[in-house]
Amino acid sequence: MSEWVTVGAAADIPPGHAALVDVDGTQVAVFNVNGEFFAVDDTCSHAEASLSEGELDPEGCTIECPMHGSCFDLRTGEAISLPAYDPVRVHRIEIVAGVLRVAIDETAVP
Amino acid sequence: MTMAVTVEAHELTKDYKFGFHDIDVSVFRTEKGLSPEVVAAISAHKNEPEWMLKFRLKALSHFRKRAMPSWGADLSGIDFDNIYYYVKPTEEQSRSWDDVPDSIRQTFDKLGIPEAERKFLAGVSAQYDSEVVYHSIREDLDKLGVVFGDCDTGLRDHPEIFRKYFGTVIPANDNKFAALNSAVWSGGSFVYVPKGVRVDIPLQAYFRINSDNMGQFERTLIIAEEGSYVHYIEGCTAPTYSSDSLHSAVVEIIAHKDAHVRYTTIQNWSNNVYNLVTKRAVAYEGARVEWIDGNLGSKVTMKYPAIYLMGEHAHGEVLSAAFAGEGQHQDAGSKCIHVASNTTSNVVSRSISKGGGRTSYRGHIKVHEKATGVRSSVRCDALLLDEESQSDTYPYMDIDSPDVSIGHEATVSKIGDEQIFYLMSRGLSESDATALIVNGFFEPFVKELPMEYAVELNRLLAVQMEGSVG
Amino acid sequence: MATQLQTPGAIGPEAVTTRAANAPAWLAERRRAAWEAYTALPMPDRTRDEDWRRTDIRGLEPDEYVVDPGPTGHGAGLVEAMREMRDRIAPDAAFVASTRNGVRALEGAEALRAQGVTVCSLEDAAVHDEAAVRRALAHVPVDGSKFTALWNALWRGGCFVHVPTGVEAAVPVVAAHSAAGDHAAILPATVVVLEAGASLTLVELEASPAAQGTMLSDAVSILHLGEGSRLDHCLLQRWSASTWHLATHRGVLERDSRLRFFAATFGSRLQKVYWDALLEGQGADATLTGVCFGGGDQHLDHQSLQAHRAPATRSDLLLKVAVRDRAQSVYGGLITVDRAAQRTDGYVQNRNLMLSRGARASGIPMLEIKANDVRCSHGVTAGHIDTEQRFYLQSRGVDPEAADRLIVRGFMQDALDRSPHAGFAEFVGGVLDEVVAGHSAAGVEAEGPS
Repeated sequence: MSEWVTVGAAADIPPGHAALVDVDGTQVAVFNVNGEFFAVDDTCSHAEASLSEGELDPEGCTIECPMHGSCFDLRTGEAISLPAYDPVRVHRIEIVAGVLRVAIDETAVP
Repeated sequence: MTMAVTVEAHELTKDYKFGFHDIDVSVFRTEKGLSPEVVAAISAHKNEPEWMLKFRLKALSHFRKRAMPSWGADLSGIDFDNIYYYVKPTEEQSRSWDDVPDSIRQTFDKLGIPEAERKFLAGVSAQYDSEVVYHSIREDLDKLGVVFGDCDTGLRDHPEIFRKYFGTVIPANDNKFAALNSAVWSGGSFVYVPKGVRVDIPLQAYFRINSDNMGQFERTLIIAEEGSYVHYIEGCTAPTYSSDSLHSAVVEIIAHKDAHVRYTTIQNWSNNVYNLVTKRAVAYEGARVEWIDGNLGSKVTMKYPAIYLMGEHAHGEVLSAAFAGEGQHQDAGSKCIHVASNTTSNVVSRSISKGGGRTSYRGHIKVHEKATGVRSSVRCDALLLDEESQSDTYPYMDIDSPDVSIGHEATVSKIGDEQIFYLMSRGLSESDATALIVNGFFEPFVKELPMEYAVELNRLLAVQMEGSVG
Repeated sequence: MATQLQTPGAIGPEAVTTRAANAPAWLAERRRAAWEAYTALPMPDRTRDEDWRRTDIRGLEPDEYVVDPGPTGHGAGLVEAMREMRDRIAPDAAFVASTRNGVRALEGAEALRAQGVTVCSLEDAAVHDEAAVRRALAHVPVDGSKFTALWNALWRGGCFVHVPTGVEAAVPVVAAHSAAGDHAAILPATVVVLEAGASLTLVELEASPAAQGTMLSDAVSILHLGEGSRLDHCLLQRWSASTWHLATHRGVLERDSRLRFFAATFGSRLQKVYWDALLEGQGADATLTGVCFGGGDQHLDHQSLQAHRAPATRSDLLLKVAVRDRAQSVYGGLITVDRAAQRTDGYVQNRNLMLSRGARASGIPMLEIKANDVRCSHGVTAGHIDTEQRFYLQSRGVDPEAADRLIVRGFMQDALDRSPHAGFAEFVGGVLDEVVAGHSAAGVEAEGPS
């Protein structure tokens, strides 16, 4: 398992917003869904697109890729609609004293 | 244990009784052009639930943000601001019979199209109804739990099923024209076949025809549950006049485990139409999806029926026939995405260009890196009938797994002199010989059509070929 | 990055100035215009440029590479290694060897000179045979693409062969290009002009020692075939596994001329090569053949163009690719037939064999046909090595390594048989066997430090 890496202040990402962070060379998209934080691989599993630039649906807890509209479940990383079919990796994220930390899950199936 | 239930086929005759109803256009009309207000008005007019309104509005914003595709046919002639996106004013809808081009009228004669049908197809009359036939078939379908209606009704009467699948195969932002359709869709078909049910009679969009269903922005959703079978047919061989210059349809098909769905299209839009379609199917374990795709008309068609083979042993077929005459560009093809192991796909494309027409095959075969035992074959053949015509082939392949067997072959040629001489030596005229060869060339496609379509198509090809030999 | 002091001798405006100073005015101006074009053009981009979609060139910073190293200790060694290859492939051939410091050897050309054939460096030819060089260079415009612009600005040394009317060259010419050293950049240049009725066999060798840091090769070959002439062109690419290799090999065929091109690709870390056969004259005929083997993390990209611009022209391309480990092969082939090019025959075949999971192959053969009295076809297949074949051979006592070698040889044999030079085919077959057996793809034995 990877080390915890600090990526920024939780307050910098208000609810409904996203940020793109680099965690030891891996591009990770961080989302605030009604106060709860999620972290997934930023690159869509279908094409070279950045999920942090997509549309967040707080109700369904999904992110929609801006390139072809595939939706991913932020809890499981699963692709809910085509044209993507491979999931994106979900990484562990926690807040410690207002600071966000992410640990890359290498073992997650990309 | 479920048993497959079959519907007895009714014999179709051409002796329908036609009825002409009044269309209720007085209630609503929109201006030309596209805006959130127009979209909201469409949704309100249809009394849609809020999620659909939100879906449409999001789709509109995607449509506006996306650039036009940088590849494919020339779409510079589309004037988005000059289109009615929902209901057209009645004055525009009917033409005088005298305005119908001679070529179309002559084709109707030669095909023996009944008079009322002709008027509808030529845009002279506003509606063509085969309610009687449709209703008798409906009763049988109802008994089996098969739903066959339009999408508006599907959304209203079967909201859970509809919402579960709608937009999951083709999301609103998939491409510019899917986004447009997602914003302003209307009409099209909703088909649901329950587990184990076989629908032996082909379901034809033609049964429910009215101007809505021959509409610009049809949306079709077909769900085939486990072990079911259905054959859906849209379009017709006779030339169809449309005053709408832009058609952008979306078709989504979900074939569950061991289901079999065949979707046949024959399109013969008048040559003022830009026909830009997104069609995609998902095939689960053991399922089989067949796209039988005939492109005869329109000024420009861009259409690449796709099958995502998501479950083991799923099979996809695309059988495509295209004819491009003067001023036409048929840019068609297929996409087979092998995600699961032991899946197979077979693509056969036959195209003919004459009189300066252009046909392009554009296809994509992709094999997921973890998929093993995949077999795929693509075979494209193009005939150029004269010096002005053009043909292109762009087959893309991304094979990320080594455990596969993939083949692609394409040929482009003219009709061989030897073939013509042989047939002429048997007493045929040169134009009959050419027509015979053309029929033979399209035979793999024609033989998959229900008989009355096949007969009509052969007659149509004969008509198209007349005068092709100078 | 940009604020670093420029490394002496690196790709940059100074290198252009040095070359322009030693060139005739017309060439100096051309080099300067090419450099302008190079700096103005953006690097190819996966999202913007369709033909770069499957090849990722991020990570290449050309201005870090050294084109003018000054005296190095290894030049003689490289030339010797190239000479040995010439001895094995075509011992009777004339030999022109270039390194970064220009042409370092020019041997065995007496018989050709006696026939009136010019064999010299491209630099010399620019002075002594200006008309022919200008005609040839016109086929690769200074602003055609990022890397042909760079080539036009900075090529050095190079091999020039001009065969006069009706002369059938008595011996082949071997044009060898080699370099070594970390962050070395070499721009191989080969220009062949055949007048009417002439004929020549040309063998091009590109090679470097294994594991000598990273290298950049930006090569262009220009082949002008006059009416009724015949050229057999063999090409062997054996750059080290850490080389970026970009190349354009362009043949312009006048009426009734015939080109037989055979290329063997083993080396480089990432390769993007363009083979262009422009059939401008009626009756022109081009046969293009490639064998390619990739392993490790290699990314080997071939792009071909068969442009039929005149009637009764014929082209036939066969590319065979075998990949294993995590290697990737990309092939894009286009046949175009102009309206006037009736009675064209055009064929493309790409066959891909994958020997391991993780290896990938994609082949995109395209047709754009505007004439109707033609016969054009293409075919691409991709498959894995037949496990049954492997088991069969192993059950006959053949060890797995040898089994793969036999199977790959069997797969490549019909392509090898198309080589227009027997000695070259034999040599390539040997290299193929070695590389399949796990030997380095690099063409020069590694020596001491550069």
